Amino acid sequence: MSTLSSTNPGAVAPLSRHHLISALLVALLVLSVGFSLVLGPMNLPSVDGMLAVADNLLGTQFSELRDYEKAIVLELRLPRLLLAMMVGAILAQCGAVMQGLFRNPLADPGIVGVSSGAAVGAVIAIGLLPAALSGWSIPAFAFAGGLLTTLLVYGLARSPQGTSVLMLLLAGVAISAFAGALIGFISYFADDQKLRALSLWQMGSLAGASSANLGLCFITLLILVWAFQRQAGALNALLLGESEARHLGINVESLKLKLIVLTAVGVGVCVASSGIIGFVGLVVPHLIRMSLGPNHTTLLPLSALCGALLLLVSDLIARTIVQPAELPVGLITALLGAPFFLALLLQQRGKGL
Amino acid sequence: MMKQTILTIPSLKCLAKNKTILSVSDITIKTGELSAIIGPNGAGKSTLLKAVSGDTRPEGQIFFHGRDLKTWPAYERARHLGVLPQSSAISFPFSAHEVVALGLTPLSLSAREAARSIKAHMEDTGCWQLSEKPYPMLSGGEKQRVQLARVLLQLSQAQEPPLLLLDEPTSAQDLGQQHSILKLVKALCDDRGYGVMAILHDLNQVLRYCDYCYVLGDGTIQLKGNPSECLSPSNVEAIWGYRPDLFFTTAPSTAALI
Repeated sequence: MSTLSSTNPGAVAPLSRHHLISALLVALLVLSVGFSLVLGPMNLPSVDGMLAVADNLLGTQFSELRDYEKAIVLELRLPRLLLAMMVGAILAQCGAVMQGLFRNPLADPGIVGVSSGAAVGAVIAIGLLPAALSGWSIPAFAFAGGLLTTLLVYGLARSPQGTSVLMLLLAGVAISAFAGALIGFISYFADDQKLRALSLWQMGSLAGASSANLGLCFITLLILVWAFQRQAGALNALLLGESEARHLGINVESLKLKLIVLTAVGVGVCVASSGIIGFVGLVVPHLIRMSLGPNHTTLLPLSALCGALLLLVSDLIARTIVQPAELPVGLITALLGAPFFLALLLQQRGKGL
Repeated sequence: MMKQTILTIPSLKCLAKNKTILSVSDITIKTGELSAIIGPNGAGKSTLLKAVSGDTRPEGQIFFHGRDLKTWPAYERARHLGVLPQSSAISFPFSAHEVVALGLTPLSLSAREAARSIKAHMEDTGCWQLSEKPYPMLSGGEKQRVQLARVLLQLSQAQEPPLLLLDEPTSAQDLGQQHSILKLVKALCDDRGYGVMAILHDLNQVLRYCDYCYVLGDGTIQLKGNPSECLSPSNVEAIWGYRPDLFFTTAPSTAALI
């Protein structure tokens, strides 16, 4: 499949434009990384902030920061910005793939309820399983919850014309309500210590960046980027319709299964490490499609890049706008994403919603 | 050109909810032959087409170039068997050019060959000027031509004469477009040896363009043979419940039913 997508030149958007946008995104990302290192309740000299990271990597001594300032950069801000970028990239890619899979530009892990399903899994792991296992049990259960919900929503919303927007959204509403109830039950019966862990997790923050979840996110991101890119050509063909893709020689059933499992892994890992962060998976692929068209060979990598940027900037806003306190980052993404979603919905309204 | 057999169906049965909805036998498509599948609504035309295209798993065997169709590797099959869908809605803003390029999926062409091939097929089907237009904005007839270009591109590297399945290719078209698409398909049969199986509704188009026809009714083949012999007023009445008047046109000399 990989060899085929690479020999698919007619389906590649104009190269110069694609490169221009990639370069722009990379530049903005670098800039945001810089800002994220030095901005916060304690503003640090920008050059020194970045030098501290270089020192840490290279073993040099350029930075003139004091030790506690270095600790802020290296132990608080750096892990957090890495987590933000990776979660943003994973969510954006999962959103793009889910839209291709559902053949519906409104599919998004948050909107269709997959994130809520993953959250139920995570809450079960936090609330009912021993805390000693949480490093693995939370992501594993979040994955299982996400997978079950994806299968359920897909089964409900499927029709020969793709998936029905109405069914998709209603399924999302129903699943989110059900998930909320389950989470409520588990919280109600949890003891004090578990309850504390639960409420901390539910705030959905990137502050919980640890080496364990950074590692997990990194591995997941690598696997997803590689695996999704291999399916980019097949995803393009799938947009024609399931039978059409089959007539083009694509094993549609196996493709769908792969994509469902991979998106559930991605959403599960994100939810486990940072709670529910909505709308990234909806907004980002849409922005890329608007500028470069729907071809997955360019859509997927650029979505990852743009998702990383969006979540990093959102987190920067979330933790600086009311400092020294901070807002949940999901609040910022929802503030940006919800109006965007409404605009999309209006656009779709004429098309037989 | 020696006529070679592309497709043979010795016998085939399709079931839905344990009821037989289609039971046909002795269907043969040869190179250069345009065969029509006709019959009233619900006769099993689409079921037959879906069985041949591999969308359903019927009982019985379909031989494609002498090999059981099920044993063909997916991409090799895709290079030899193309399906033009009746309608294809895409909710993503692909350009017409990008939709045609999806026909490259089972092929392995160099970038330059691919670009040339896309252009050639879009010109053949008269849609090159639509290249940059977003596919969802095209009219039904334009979409059809873009899809046809995609399918012909998909079949462009076939080592054996390919088989093209058409599901009501004229349904979304105005009169001029209907005839231009059928002429194009006819030319593929005559010049390039394609075998074509087309579901059609307009019996006059069958009389004018098709070499052979299978008339389905109640899930079985009621009649088959040369269209002008099959579609006599009495036969048409027996199958569709309407007795047409028969005319003969001169250039080209065709029978016509009203």
